[in-house]
Amino acid sequence: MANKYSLTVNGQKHEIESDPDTPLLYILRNDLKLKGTKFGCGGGVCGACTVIMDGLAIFSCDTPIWSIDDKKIETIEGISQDGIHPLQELLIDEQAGQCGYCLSGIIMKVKAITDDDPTKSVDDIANELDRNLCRCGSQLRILNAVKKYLDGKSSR
Amino acid sequence: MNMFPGSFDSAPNIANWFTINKDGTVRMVSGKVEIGQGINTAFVQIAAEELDIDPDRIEISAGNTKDGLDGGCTAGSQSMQTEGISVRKAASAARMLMLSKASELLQSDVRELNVIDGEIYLNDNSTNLSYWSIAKDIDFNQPVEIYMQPKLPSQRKLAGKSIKRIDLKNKILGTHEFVHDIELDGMLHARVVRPPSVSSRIIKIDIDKINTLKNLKKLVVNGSFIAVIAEREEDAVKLAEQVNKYCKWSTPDKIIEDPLQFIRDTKSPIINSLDKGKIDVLRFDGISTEVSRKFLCHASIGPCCAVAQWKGNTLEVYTHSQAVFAMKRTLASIFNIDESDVDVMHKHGSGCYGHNGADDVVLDAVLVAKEFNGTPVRLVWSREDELSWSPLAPGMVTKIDANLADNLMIESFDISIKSPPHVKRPSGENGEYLLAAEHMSNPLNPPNPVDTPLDKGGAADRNSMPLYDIPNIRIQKQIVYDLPWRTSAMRGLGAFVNVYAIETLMDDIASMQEIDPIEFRLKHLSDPRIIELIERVRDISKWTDRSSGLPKGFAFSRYKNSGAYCAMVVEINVDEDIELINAWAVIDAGEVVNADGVKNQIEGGIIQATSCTLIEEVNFDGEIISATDWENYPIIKFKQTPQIQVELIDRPEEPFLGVGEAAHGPTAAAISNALFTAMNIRIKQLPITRERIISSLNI
Ligand code: FES
Ligand code: FES
Repeated sequence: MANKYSLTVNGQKHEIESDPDTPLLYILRNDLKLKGTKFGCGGGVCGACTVIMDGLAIFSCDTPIWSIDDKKIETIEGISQDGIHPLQELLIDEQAGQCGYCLSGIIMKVKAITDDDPTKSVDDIANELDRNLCRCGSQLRILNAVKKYLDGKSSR
Repeated sequence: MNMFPGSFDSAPNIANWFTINKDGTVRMVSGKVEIGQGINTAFVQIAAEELDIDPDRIEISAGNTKDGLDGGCTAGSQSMQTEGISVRKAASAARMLMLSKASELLQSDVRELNVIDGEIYLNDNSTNLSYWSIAKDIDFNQPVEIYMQPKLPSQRKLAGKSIKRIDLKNKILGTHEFVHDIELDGMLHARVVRPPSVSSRIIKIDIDKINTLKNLKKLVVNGSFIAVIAEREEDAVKLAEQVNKYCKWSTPDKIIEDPLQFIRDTKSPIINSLDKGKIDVLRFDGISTEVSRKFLCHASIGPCCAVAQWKGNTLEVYTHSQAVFAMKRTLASIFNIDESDVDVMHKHGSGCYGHNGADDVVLDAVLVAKEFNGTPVRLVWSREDELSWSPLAPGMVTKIDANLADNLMIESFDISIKSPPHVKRPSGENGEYLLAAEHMSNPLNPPNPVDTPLDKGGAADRNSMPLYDIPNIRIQKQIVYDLPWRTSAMRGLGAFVNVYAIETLMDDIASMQEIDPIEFRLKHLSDPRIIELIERVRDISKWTDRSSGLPKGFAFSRYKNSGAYCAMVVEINVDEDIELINAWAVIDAGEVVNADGVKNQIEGGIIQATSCTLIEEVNFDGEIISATDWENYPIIKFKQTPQIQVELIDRPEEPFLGVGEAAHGPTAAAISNALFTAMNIRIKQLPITRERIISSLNI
């Protein structure tokens, strides 16, 4: 049965009519056409679908729409609205990525962690990225970019 | 070697490769596709070099059958070695053709002209001519062969520079359109309903019940190929599960208890890959090793996806296949339509550096779309599909018997390789190796694929030929066709296990003789290129002061014996689990186009190979593949990331050598050799897990 939900995505308010169980991922990708958030496993293990909800990184693949009514969502498309986000700049500098499929989820996770606690070390972050997988082996370059990002944050 | 490797058969003319636009841009066609390796950035760089233009001016169209340029399959680290040369020739021809036109207009000699970012200069003075102004009056339908004149190495300016990947920025910004992200008008979503295991077939299906399911747009039943179509993606996901409750599948009649033992016991005919010198089969007094690897998953992060649309009898497909033209031919043959009525267009997918279900999902989508002629259908596999229905990388066993001469030098290697097939790619000529083709009501039974012979790079026997000076070598392989599971190419093919066998055995023999393992290898080497490489890695890793610090291991190989050379030293930490801490790799890839691109490939290769060496294995429950999600098929995690230092030996005068797969075998062997140094145990079955270490300590 379709219900009405309202959610704010990247600062924009949307009214969505949907079955309550529909995962947020499909609302973002197919209703709002925000395709930067990816499907990977549907089970909260790979991190490809990571978005930020009220400051917290969540897996949009196993978050049903009923549970996020009235919440604020941030996706990969949202973080560079006022110019490229510094973390993204550093990832570009480091050429951190190969196929690139995993990247948006990883970026959102790192952003959520560091926004919440800028004092985290790169090792802390590597540990917290336990549920963000990359098949191509881009981890080293991603962590190098994250390290520079943390250095930049602490010197700011 | 063919003077025109790559795509010249289908694209002999400059116009097949380049269109020079008056707005100052260049459209370039590429026959190789991006799989994460950055190939099209390298091609843009090569073309920009020859054309003397800024790389940003080039727009590339890659892997689109509508362009007509057939670059074959993007695989085997061949793209630079073949197509890279073609791109260079074609771009140089475009430049020369334009300069001849300019010399006509300026009534000057071509040799007096030069180009800076597309502007044409006469004796270093600007003219009013540029590529962009004169191109419209030139017929580019001229043979590349006549005009080509690639620069000399000393004339190159961009070569070796690390320009940024052309696709990576948008991937980091989240705006790149992957095949998964295609959105076409009225597009429907589909999922396949999977049997419990490979040889299960449908016995009964309760169609009446299924037709009452909510949101089902249509059920597709074609033999044992069963799929659901819905308007919304999440409904297709849900329906595939619901429908399976109304399906009864047959159970397999043949159960194989231990697949690796089955491979070891194979009675398949012996293929002689190599006979060099003489092997005294009656005398064996040396040292031997038998190593094996379990089956692996390709394990892309994003499951395979394709979008298909029939329009009457014509067909359009978007895919992340590595071989769009082979796919075009295969689809034409399966559906009995004209090749010219099929177009296959590459879009980036989720990487794995192997032949996952990228091709299989195409046929799935095409079969489903046939039920809705005129409507595009997008089909994405589930996580379980990706892991357990993509072809697996085959389990494999390699045995080497080595005899030593009186002076303790290696006298002979007798090598035996047993493996299921490594390459089952659809080719269009009776090679319709596609999953759904086995399930359709008229299943196709393509013949067993021939394992590529060693002199063409080999498959199961890839890299089984040691590059050490060993006078007598025999290599034999047996291809095991009678296992039920589908297998196909994963990064390195047989090289992963064969290099593991050779390089761990080299350390075993060195240790027996109490010689430094690098010293021992150098005694068996005369090629100065290899010696330089090994000495370099020995230096940068500070190999010689190993008395303190973490245990180190070394390994070397040259991919396919014809691609890039890779020498590696690793440092591991042996605690509860083994962890790779540091890796140093020295790479000789001949002429390097994009240094950072090469480094990225090697770093990624080392990390992926570490995952395969220490973590990954498929287990079976009867015929059922255990790998259904990331919990039961774990791969490497961020916290396990090693530090890596890659050094390149650039040889601008030498041909390009493919690097994509160079690091795989050496990584595994170097880790094993470090463990051997640390604990004096040799793990012969990959992956090297804590359980295997403990059990080898108990023996
Ligand atoms: S798709 Fe959501 S965690 Fe994998
Ligand atoms: S770059 Fe391919 S999965 Fe991470």
